[in-house]
Amino acid sequence: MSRKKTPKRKGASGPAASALPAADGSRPARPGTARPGPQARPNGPPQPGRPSLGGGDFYDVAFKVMLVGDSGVGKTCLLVRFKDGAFLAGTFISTVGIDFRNKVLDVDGMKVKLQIWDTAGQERFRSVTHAYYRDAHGQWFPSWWWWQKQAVMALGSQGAKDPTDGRETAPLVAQVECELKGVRGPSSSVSPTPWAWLTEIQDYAQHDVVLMLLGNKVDSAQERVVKREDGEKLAKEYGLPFMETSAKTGLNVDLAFTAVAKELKQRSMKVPSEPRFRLHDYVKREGRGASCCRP
Amino acid sequence: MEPAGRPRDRVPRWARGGRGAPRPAWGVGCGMGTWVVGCEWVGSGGEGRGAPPPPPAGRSRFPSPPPRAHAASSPRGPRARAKLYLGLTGSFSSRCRIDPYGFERPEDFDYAAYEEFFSAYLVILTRRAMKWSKLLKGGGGVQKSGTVKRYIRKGVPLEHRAHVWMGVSGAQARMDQNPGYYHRLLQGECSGRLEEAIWTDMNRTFPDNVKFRKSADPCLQKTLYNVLVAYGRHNQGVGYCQGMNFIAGYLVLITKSEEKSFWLLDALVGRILPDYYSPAMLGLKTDQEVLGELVRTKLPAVAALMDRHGVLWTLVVSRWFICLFVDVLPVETVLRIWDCLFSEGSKILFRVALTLIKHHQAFILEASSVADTCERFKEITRGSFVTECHTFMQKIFSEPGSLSMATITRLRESCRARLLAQG
Repeated sequence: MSRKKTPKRKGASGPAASALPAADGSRPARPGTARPGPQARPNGPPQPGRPSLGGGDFYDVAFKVMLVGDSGVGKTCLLVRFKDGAFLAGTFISTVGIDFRNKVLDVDGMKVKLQIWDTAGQERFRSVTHAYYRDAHGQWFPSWWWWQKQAVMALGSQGAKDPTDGRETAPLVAQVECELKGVRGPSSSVSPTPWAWLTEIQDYAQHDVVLMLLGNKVDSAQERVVKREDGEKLAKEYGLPFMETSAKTGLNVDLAFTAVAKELKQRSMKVPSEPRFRLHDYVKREGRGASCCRP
Repeated sequence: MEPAGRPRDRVPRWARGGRGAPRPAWGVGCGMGTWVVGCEWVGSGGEGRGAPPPPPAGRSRFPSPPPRAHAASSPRGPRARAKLYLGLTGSFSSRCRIDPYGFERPEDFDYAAYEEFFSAYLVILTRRAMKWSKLLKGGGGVQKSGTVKRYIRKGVPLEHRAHVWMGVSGAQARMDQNPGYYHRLLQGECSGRLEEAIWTDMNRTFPDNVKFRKSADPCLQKTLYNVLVAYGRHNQGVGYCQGMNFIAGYLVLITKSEEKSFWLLDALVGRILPDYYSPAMLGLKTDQEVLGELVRTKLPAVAALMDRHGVLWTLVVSRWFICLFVDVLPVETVLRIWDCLFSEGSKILFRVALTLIKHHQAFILEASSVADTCERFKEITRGSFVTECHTFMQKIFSEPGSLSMATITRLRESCRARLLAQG
C-alpha cells in the first residue's frame, strides 16, 4: 500500500477579527478526487484564541469515528485531549452542529488516520442529524446520539479510503461512550436511555459498526454518579467493550481511540497472517482503573 | 497564559482612562481605534469617572451630543458624551487583547490589518452616527420606514443599537404591552430539566469573554441564565435549544438589560426565525434546504459539487443558521447582520450565506471530499472579506442578486413538504 501525503493546509488570507489562527496567504491548489481524502486542518469550534491544531500528514488508511452522548458529558474535551494531549478547563464552548478533527496514529507500523466527528449533544439535534448516518450515496455518515446526562456514545465509521479514487467506502466503526459521572447527574445508576441510543445506532448505522462504550469524567471519584459496575453491566448486556476515561487526566483516552483504530484496521486489512485482534480483550487488558487518578 | 482576573484588570491601563493614561489621539484617521461598548466598559470601575481629559483636537468633527433621552444616562463632559455617542473609546492602541465587547483576541490576531480596516471604518461610523443622531432627535420609538431600513443597512451605531433593535423588531411594543411579565416568568415554577439544560451551557458560553467569567462584576452569566430560563418558560414549545445561549449572550452584551434581551430573543425565536429551535427543528432544516435550492439556482457549480461529494447542507451551514453567525463571523460583522435581521427578517441569513458562498465559489469548487468541503466552508467565514463588515454588508445586498420574499416563501413551502414526506 502506498503511503499518501496530503499537503498541510494554510489559513485564509487577510485579517480576521475573531477568526482562527493561520492567516498567511494562499492555499495550495489541490488535485481533485484522486487524493485519498481530506487532510483538512482540524479545527475546534471556531473559538477565538484556540490554538491551531496541526494535522497528520501521512497515512495508509483512514477511518471515521463519531462521538455521541449527552450534552456536557465531555465529548469535545475527550477529543481535544486525544488530539492535543491537553485539557484546558473553561475554554470549551458547547458544540452546535458538527465538527471534526483528524489524528494519525501509528498502529502496528501502519499510519491510521482517524477522522473524529464531534457532535452537538442536545436531544433535539437528533432530528437534524439523522441524516448523517448515511450520506447521499447511501454510505454511512456521521451521526450521534445521547443518553441522558451520564452517557456519551461515540459512533464512527471505518470509511476506508480507496487510494485510487478517494471515495469513502462503506465499512464502519462506531464507538460508544458512557459517561459515568455527569456534571450534575442526578442519578446513581445508568439511565434507561442508553437503550434508546443503542437502538438508534442499530437502526441507522451499518450493522458492522464498531462500538465502544466509554464512561468519562472518572477523575473526580467523589462526584461519581454511575458506578463502574453499572457501566460494565450495561456494556456486557450489549456486548460492547467498555472503558472508563478522563479527558482531564488523560486516563485511557489514547487507549480508547487506539483500540478502535486497531479494530478498524484489522477489519479493513484482513491480513491472514496477523493474529486476530480482539477489541474486548485488548480493552480489558490495557485499560487502567479510575483509582489511579484519585486525588 | 494570563491569569483570569477581574475584567478591569484585563483591560490595559491606558484603556481605562484616568490619571496616568496616555492621552489618546482622538479623532478620525489618527490611527487604530478600539471599539468599546459605550463608556460603561471603559469607565465603570470609577477610575475614569473623574474630570474628562482636555478636549481633543478633533472634537469639532464629532456631532452634537445625543438627544436628551439618551443623554440622561450619559457620562458628563462633551468628550465622554461623544465617545458614548459613537460607541468608541478614546484609546487608540492596536495592542488591546480584549475587544470592545469583552472577547479576548486570539494570540495571532492581525492587529495591523485590523487597524488598516478600522481607520477607514471609523470615518464611516462617524458619518453614520451623525445621521442617526438627526434621525432619532426628539426621542421616541423607531418605526419601520424606508429611511430607517436604508439607515439600518448602513449600520446602527452601538449606542442606538438596542433601541433600534427593540423598535424595528416589535420587541419594544411587546415589552410595553406586558409590563412585569418578564419578572413574573423568573418567579415562575422551576421545571428542573429546563434549568439544568441551560446550566450545562453556562460555562460553555463565551468562555473567552471576560464579562461572562465568574469573576466579572457584573457577571453576565447570571443575566444570560435568567434570560434563557425566562424564555424557556415563556415559550414552552421551544424551551431551550443549544445555540440560543450564544444568541442571548450577544443580546445581553448589546442591551445590557435582561428584560430587553428577553423580548429581543422573543422577537427572533418567536417571530423572525421560522421554527428553528423547537424540538423538531423543522424550520431550521427547511431553511438549510432552501439555501441548497437557492445555491442550485444561483451557483449551480457549487450545488453540483455538493451533490458529487454527497455533502448535506446541514453539515456545513447548521451553525450559521442556529447561531445566526455568532462565533462564525467576527463580532462586528455579526452585529451588522443582526441590524438587518431585526429590520428585514430571516431573508438576510440567506443573503449572507449566498454572499459567502458566491464570493468564494472558486475556492469551494476545489474541494476534494466531504471533509475538505466542510473545511472550506469554515475557511470562507474568516479573513478580510468578513472582517471588513461595512463592505461585506454592501456586498450581501448586491452579490446574491435579487432575492424576493415570494421566492423564499415558495421554496420554504416546497422544502418543508419534502422534509415532512421524508419523515
